[in-house]
Amino acid sequence: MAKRNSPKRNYVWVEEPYIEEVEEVRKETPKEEELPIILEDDYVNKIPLQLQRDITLNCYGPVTQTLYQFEGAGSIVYVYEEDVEPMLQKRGGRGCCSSTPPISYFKRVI
Amino acid sequence: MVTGTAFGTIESTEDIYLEGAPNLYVQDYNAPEMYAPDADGFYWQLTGTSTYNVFEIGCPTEVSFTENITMNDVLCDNVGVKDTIQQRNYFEFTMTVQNMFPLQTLKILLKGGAVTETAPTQKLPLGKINNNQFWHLYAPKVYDEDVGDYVWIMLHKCKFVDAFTLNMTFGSPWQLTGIKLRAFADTTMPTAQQFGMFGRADASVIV
Repeated sequence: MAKRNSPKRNYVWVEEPYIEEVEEVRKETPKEEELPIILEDDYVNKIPLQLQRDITLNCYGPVTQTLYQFEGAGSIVYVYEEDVEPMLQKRGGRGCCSSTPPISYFKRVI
Repeated sequence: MVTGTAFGTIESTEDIYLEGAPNLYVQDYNAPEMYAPDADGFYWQLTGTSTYNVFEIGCPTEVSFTENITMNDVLCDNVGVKDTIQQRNYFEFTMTVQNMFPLQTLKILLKGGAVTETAPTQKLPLGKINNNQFWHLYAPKVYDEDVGDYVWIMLHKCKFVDAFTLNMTFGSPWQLTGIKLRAFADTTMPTAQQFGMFGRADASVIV
């Protein structure tokens, strides 16, 4: 029987890689009271004004030039703070036959 | 003793004469009257709010106040007419108006739609008539300016009816004629004042 070379198996010693154990860090959920309050953009720095005249009004804010749309008497729209005082000064028409002065277009909503 | 007078308790008239048209104010029927009711049980006066403005009808002329009645005679063939049965249908204010502005007041007289305003314009649509729009009418007339004695007419449920005519004459102000404000019975009111009321305030006489 022919002699066969017995195959040699070369073993290479490999060191096991060192795995450093890392402590699992659990993020703490901030308490509710610590969460910042995020308001919808529509109401930030805005004040509600109510239209006192029986019209559908498209009005540009005197300072910010923002378009505000009021849908009839009694309707309420949130207006930028800078526009509030000039808009409260807005009065309509010229006085007529009785002693009633022209009314203001808007009033603050409390 | 004066001859030619009646005997007994006589209610004499006062020598006070009223002159000129009253001021005319209208407000949406859905708004409650200011006194609803007052201490005497009457519903009257208007108070304007942001939602329900009170509108002044400015510079009216040829103002008149009348009623419409259905009358049916009771006829007996042996006697003739013995009675006339009457049914009040409505009261009516008619007037000519010479103030056209603002358009939110004109829209009431022309029976138009909601006014849209984008400075410097106002736009009033003229479409179909809204037959569900009713108004309160308050018409006060001061007859003694010194002390503020006045009378007033209050009509609860009114509608502007009939066709208007806008006269545009050279040399004259525009005149809106044919304005009729018809007052119907308001069944939400007490029976005795379903159409409205007539009032007088005079501290020197009514004591």
